[in-house]
Amino acid sequence: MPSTSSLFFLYLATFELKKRIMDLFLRLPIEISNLVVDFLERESLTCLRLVCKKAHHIATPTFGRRYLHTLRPILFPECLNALVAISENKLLRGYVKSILFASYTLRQSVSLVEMILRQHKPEIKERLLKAHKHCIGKQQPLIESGQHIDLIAQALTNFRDAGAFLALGIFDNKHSNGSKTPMYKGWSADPYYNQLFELEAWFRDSGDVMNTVIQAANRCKYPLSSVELDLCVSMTIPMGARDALRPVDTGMDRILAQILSEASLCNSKLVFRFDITPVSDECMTSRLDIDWQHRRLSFHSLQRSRETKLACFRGLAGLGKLTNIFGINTFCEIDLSRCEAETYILSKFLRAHSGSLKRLRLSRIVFRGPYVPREAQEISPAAKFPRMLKDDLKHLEYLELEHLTGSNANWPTLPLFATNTKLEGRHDIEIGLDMWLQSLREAG
Amino acid sequence: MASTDDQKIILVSSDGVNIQTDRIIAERSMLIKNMIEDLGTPGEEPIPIMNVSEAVLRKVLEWCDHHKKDPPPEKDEDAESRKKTTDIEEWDQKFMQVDQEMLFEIILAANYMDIKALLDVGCKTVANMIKGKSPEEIRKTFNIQNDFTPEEEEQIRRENEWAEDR
Repeated sequence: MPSTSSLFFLYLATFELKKRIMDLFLRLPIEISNLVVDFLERESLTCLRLVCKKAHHIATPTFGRRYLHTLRPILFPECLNALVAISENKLLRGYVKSILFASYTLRQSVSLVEMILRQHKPEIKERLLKAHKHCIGKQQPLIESGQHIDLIAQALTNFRDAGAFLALGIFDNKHSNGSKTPMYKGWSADPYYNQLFELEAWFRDSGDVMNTVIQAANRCKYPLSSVELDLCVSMTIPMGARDALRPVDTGMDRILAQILSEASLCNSKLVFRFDITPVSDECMTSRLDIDWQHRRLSFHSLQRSRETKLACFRGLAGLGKLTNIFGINTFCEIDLSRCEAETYILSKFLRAHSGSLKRLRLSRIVFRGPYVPREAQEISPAAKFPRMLKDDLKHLEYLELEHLTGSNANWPTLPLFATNTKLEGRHDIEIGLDMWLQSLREAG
Repeated sequence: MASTDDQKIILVSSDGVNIQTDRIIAERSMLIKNMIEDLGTPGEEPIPIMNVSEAVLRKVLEWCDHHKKDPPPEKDEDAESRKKTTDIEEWDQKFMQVDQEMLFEIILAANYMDIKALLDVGCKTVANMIKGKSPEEIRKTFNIQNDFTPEEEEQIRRENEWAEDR
């Protein structure tokens, strides 16, 4: 039997050994424990924060940087309360660098949602309808009472008082600027949100959401001029193939125009995407993207079927008040592809931006124009276009032309020049356009 | 004159033991590589490795020997993708099956000797010891005492729920 002294020494040895291996992890230099923490995914990182104060201290910076850098609240009471709670949290609010509000609100028309559910999820229609009603019941009073603006203002005040001036913005899930709707537990988001979202029981309300954020910021005197607005909004503009244009939703157009008119927001990251839906199925849907910060416009038809006609580029028609804002010398870069264009309209549009336009790319354009007998023309439309490019677009530094064709006799088969050309620098552009004009003269 | 591959060098551990090894093996350590380049006389002068004991240094050299023909370390732009996985190749997994004290000593040595790939393997091994465990299991694994009050724990639980999975 071991003596008392040997037992004592055994106990001492075990104690010493335990002490030596005790919390070795916590005693690693911070740069090494940071490397370990970098390898942990969310679940493990959150568990590590709960181990002890020192582990919490080690794991929190990575937790904050990784998961709180950009917050994406929806206009729901739980989400906005979580936003306020984060803004009050002295330890974590410093990690927040931007807030992007989701541009979605729930459809309030129960009958429409019912119809969607009947078509897509008849088996769980009743349950989801109940959920939709429940969610609407939460969202509607919040928005109608203006409490959503109060909560956002409260959060912005807390961030501002803590010296944190965050980038603000909204994002659109469909045309997202790399963001997604926050359907996660911490924001107490109802588990139904996700299912309702998949069923398109939400609708995009970009302008109003942005307006809410700006109102909240103004209410608490949050200096919008010191933040970068990251805004990705989209609108659907119904447009007939040849019919009169129907303007965009005027309310939203007004809000967006107002945002753009604010001098303090001029340099923000505003991205607009417009889906242009033709009234008739004969013509493809098209997309017009405007990157306000980089003054870039692009337009193209969305593929549907080979038989369907390409969408027609009509400049900024249909954008209502925004047309005036974007109208003259706005764009530095224009990229049109896979579309039809009436020569007169396209020329007029490009000429309107001749003071700012530096880069132009025209790819797979079918030129169209009213038929005028050749003998009645002083100069053919096919020649007018390159002449306009040469004479009017004096600031052009880059010109790319690819597969340009004409839809009627005014646009004869174009010379090889217009099938694939990239020109850089004023000198090369002029020489290139002269060659194009020359070859048209020879062909004509 | 011997080629770089055949050259021998002598390292001196923190407990004063001389260990002879191939230059090519030792040069997995950027610390040693730079010292050899600075001294300019490989093999003539023993190189002191001040912070690493004999046992740990031998273990580190065993790893360097196995990996002596590995391609040079990845550039910084790959660092992010590297961090996404905690996969460890089989040999390294077996190599890291040591007691915790030795594991942490290896990590510290890899850091001191500037052997990024070994440091990575060590950190991944520790990360794998944390992964999938509850806070209580992590405490047991690393012999850590919980010093939170229930209220503090509750607060952290609430904060944890703000984390969005990406």
